[in-house]
Amino acid sequence: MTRVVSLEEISRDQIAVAGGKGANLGELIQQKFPVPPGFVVTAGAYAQSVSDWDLVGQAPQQIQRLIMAQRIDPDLDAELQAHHQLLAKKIPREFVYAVRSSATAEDLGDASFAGQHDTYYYVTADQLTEMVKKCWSSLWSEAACSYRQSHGIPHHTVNMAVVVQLMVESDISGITFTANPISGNTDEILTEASWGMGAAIVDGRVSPDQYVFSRRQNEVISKRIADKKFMVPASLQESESRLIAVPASLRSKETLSKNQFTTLINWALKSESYFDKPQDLEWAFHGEEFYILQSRPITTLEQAGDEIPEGEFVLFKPMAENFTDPLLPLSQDILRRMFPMMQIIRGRVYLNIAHIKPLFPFKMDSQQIAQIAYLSGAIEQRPSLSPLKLIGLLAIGYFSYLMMAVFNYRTASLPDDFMHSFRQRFNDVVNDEKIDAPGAMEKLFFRPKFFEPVGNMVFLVNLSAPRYMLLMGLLEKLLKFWAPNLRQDAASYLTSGTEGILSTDMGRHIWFLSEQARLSPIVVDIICGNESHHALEMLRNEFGAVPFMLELNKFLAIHGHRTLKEFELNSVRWDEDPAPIVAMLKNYLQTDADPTRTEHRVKDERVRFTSEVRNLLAGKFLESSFGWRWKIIDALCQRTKYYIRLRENSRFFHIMGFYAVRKKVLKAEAELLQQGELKCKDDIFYLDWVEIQELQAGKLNWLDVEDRIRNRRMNLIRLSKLTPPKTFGVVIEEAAQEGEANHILGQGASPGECEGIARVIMDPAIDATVLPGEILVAPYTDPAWTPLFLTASAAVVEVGSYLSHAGTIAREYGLPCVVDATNCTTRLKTGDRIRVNGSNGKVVLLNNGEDSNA
Amino acid sequence: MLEMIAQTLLAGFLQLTGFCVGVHLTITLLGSLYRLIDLGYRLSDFWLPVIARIFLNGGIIFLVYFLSSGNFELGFWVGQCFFLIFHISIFWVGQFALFLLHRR
Repeated sequence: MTRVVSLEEISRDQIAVAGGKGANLGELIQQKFPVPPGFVVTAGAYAQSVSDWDLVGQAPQQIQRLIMAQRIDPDLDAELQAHHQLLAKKIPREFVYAVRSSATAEDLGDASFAGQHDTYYYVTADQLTEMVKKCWSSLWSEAACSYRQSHGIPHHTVNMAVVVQLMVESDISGITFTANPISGNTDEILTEASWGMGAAIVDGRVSPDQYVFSRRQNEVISKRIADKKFMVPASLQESESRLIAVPASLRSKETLSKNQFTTLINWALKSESYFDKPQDLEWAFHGEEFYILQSRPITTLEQAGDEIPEGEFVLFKPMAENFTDPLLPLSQDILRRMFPMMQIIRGRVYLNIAHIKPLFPFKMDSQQIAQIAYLSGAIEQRPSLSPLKLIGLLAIGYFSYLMMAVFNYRTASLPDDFMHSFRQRFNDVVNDEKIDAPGAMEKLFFRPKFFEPVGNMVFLVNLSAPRYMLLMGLLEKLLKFWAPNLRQDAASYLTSGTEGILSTDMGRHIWFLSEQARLSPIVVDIICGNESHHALEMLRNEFGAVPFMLELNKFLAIHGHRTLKEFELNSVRWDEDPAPIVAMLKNYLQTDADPTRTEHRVKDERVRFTSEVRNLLAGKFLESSFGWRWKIIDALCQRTKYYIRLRENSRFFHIMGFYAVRKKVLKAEAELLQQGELKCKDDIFYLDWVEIQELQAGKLNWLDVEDRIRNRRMNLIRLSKLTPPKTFGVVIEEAAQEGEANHILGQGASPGECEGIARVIMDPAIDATVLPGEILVAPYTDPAWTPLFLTASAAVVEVGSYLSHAGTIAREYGLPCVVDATNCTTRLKTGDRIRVNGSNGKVVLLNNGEDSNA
Repeated sequence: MLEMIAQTLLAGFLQLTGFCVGVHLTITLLGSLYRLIDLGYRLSDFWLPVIARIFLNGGIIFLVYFLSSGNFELGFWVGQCFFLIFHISIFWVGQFALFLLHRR
C-alpha cells in the first residue's frame, strides 16, 4: 500500500485517500492553480497505524494520548523522508513545511471543520513524523469530537490524512470569500488581508484589511484599512514569539497593491468557476508570487451563541452609541456580574422590555416602550395613564427619591474639581494586590464608604446627573409659553456652550499640544513625516522634542485613561500607547484651521441669541421692572448646564474604572504568560473570569482553553460583521425616509445647518484627518473622536441620540450634528457634497464625489 | 360625628405634613453635614458657606420644632427619626446586596 502520495497525483474524488483538504489541493494543482508543492500521508496510513496500535474503541482522550506515545512505523518514516528528498531536489534552497490535517469528512461543503484539526508551520524534515502524529491525534480532540457529534458524523467513519506542503514565506496573506458569507450576497467578494502568515487571520488574532469587491460594478465598493498591530512572521528567530508586532511603518499601510488585488480576484473567480460553488480561499503572496493555500466551499456561518432568548429586547443605546462592535467575552462577563439586568445577545447589550415595562406609569405596548428605550424620539400616540400603576409608581418613586435624596442634595452645587479625588481612589484600587478585576469594578463603581467624599462615587454622581432632563423640559415649556416665536431648539441652544466639560477640554488640550509642537520645527517634521508609532519613538529620543514631550506627558496625566472603545477591556489606553494622539496632532499640524476662531464665533452667536430672548421677554407684563421671567430662564439654564457638566465629567472619571479592571487583567495575563498557561497576548480577553481563576489555580491549562479561545475569536469576528438589530421580538417604527434616495433622516442632536464635503472615517486610530470645513461622517463616536470635531464643520453619526457623545460635543463646539443616521457611512462616501441640518435631523446628498470630479 | 371625622382628617394631614417636612429637613441637614467631607479637600476656601449652610438648616429645624406643636410636631419628629434610620439602613442593605451579587 502506498502511504505517502505526491499532491500532483491526487484528484478531487480521492477524499478517502487524501482527505477533503488534500483532495482539493491535489485537484487545484492538477488544474494548474498556483498551489505550493507537497505530498500527503494518506488516510490509509492513519487507519493502518490505528489498527496496529489497537486504538479502535478507546475513549477519545485515551486515543490522543496513545497516538502521541506510539512510535511511527519506520517504513512510513522512510517514505516521508524519500518524498522530502524528492522535493528538496526540486527546490534548491532551505525550506520548511506546513503540516496540515486533512480529515476524510472535511471540507465537504456542509461541514467545514474549520479550526477543528491541527496545522503546524515551520516544520523541518526531522520533525515531520512527530507532526504527522499530532495531526492524527487532533482528530480526537474534544472540539473535533463534539463538532462531529453535532453534525451527525459517526467517529469511526472519519480517517485522517496529513498534507505536508512547502511553507510559503508569506509577505501578505489572507482569506477570500467569493460570496459575502455574512449577507449571502453572491455579487460581493469579501477579502481580508494582513502582513505575514495567514494563520493569524484564520485564528482571528489580527485585525486584517477588509475589501468588498462587487462583480457587477467590477470594482472595490468598500475598503477598510485596519491598524494591524500583530503578525506571524514568515520565519522565526530564536526566542521570538510566534506573534510579533508589525513594524510601525506598516501598521496602517494598505496590504494589497492594485495588481495583487486583481491577481487575487482572478484566481478566486477561477476557483469558484472550476468548483462551481462559492469558495473560501486561503492565499498568500511572497513578493509578487501568488499562492493558493486552500480552496473550499463556503459553509454556513450560523453558530452556537446565536440563539435569541425568548422575550422582547431593545438595544442598550448608551453603550451602542459609543461603539458598535460586539463585546469581548471577558468584558461581557465582568459587565454581567455588575449589571445582572443586562442581556447580552450576539455580543451586544440589550435591555429586556419585560424588566423596564413596570417602570412606565402609562398603558403602553412593547413597541412604544422599545421606541422610548431606544431614544428614537417621541411616540406618536399619547399613551393613557394607568391609575393603579401610577399609585404603585408614586410609592416606588418616593422610595427612590428617599434613597437618592441626600446624594442628590450633596451633588447639587459643588466646584468643578470635586471628582479629582477619584484619581487617588483609582490608584489605591489598582495598587491593592488583594483586589481582583471584578472587585476593582465593584469598588470603584458601587461600594462607597459611609463617610466618603462624594467625589469618590463618580458612577453614582453620573446616575444623579440626568436631573437636567427635567430642567430642560421645564425650560422648553416656559420658553414656548413666554416666547412662542423663538426657534424650536431654543432651550438646547441656550444650554449649550457649557464651560469645564473635561471631554471638550481634551479636544482643546490636543489643539494646544499641536500649538506647542509648532514651536519646534523638528517636532513638526517628525510628526508629519512619520507614521505615528515611529514618530513617537523618534520624539522620545530627540533632545529638541523634550519640551513637547513634557507637555504630552502632562496631557496623558489627565487624559491617559481614555481611548477608543473605552468600555472594552482590551482597548489600549493612551497612557499605554499615546500614538493615536500623535496621529491627531498630525491632522492638526497639516491644516491651517484655527478652531478657537470658530469657538469665538459660536460664543458670539449664543450671546446674540441670549439678548434676543431677553428682548422678546422684555415686552411682557412687569418684565421691564423686575425681569423675573428672564431670571427664571437664566437660573434654569445655569442649573441645566451644571448637571450636563456633572454627567459628562462623572463619565470622564468613571471610565477609569474600566482601566482599573484592564490593569488587573493585564497583571493576571502577565503571570499566566510567564507560567506558560497562556501563549499569546490578548488571549485572556476571550476567557471569562472564572476560567482565568481556574487557570491561575492550575485547574485548567493551555490545552483546555486553547480551543475555546480560538472558537470565541472566530465567533466574535463573525458577530462583528453582523449589524446588531435594534430590537428582538418587537419592531420599532422607523422614521419615514421620505422616499428620496438622496436623503438620510436621523435625529437632530445639535442645531444649525451646514453644507460641505463629507469625510467618512471608520476608525480614528487609522484615519484621523478631517480637513477644515469637511463634514465628519462616522459609525459612532466616543471621546477619542473629540479632536476631529475641532476641524469638522458638522457631524453625521450612524448610531446615537441627543445625549450621546457626538451630540454633546457638537453642541459644545457649535456644530450641526445629526445622529442615528442609519447606514450613513455606507450611503455617503468621502468627497460627497452634503447638507446637514442638525435641527430637523436631515442629511441631503447634493452631489457625489465622482460627479463633482467628472 | 362630622366634626370628629374632620378633626381626624386634619390631624392626619398635619401629621403627614409634619412627616414630610421632617424628612425633607433631615435630608438638607444631612446633606449640609456631608459637605464637610465632600469639600474637605478645599475647606480653607469653602468653610464659611459650609458652616453657614449647616447653621441655616439646623436653625430651620430648630425653628420648626420651636413653632410646631401637637400633630404636626409628632409627624415632624417621626419624619426625622424615620429618615435618619432609613438613611443608615439603606447603606447597609446596599452593601449586603452587593455582597450577595459578588457571591453569585
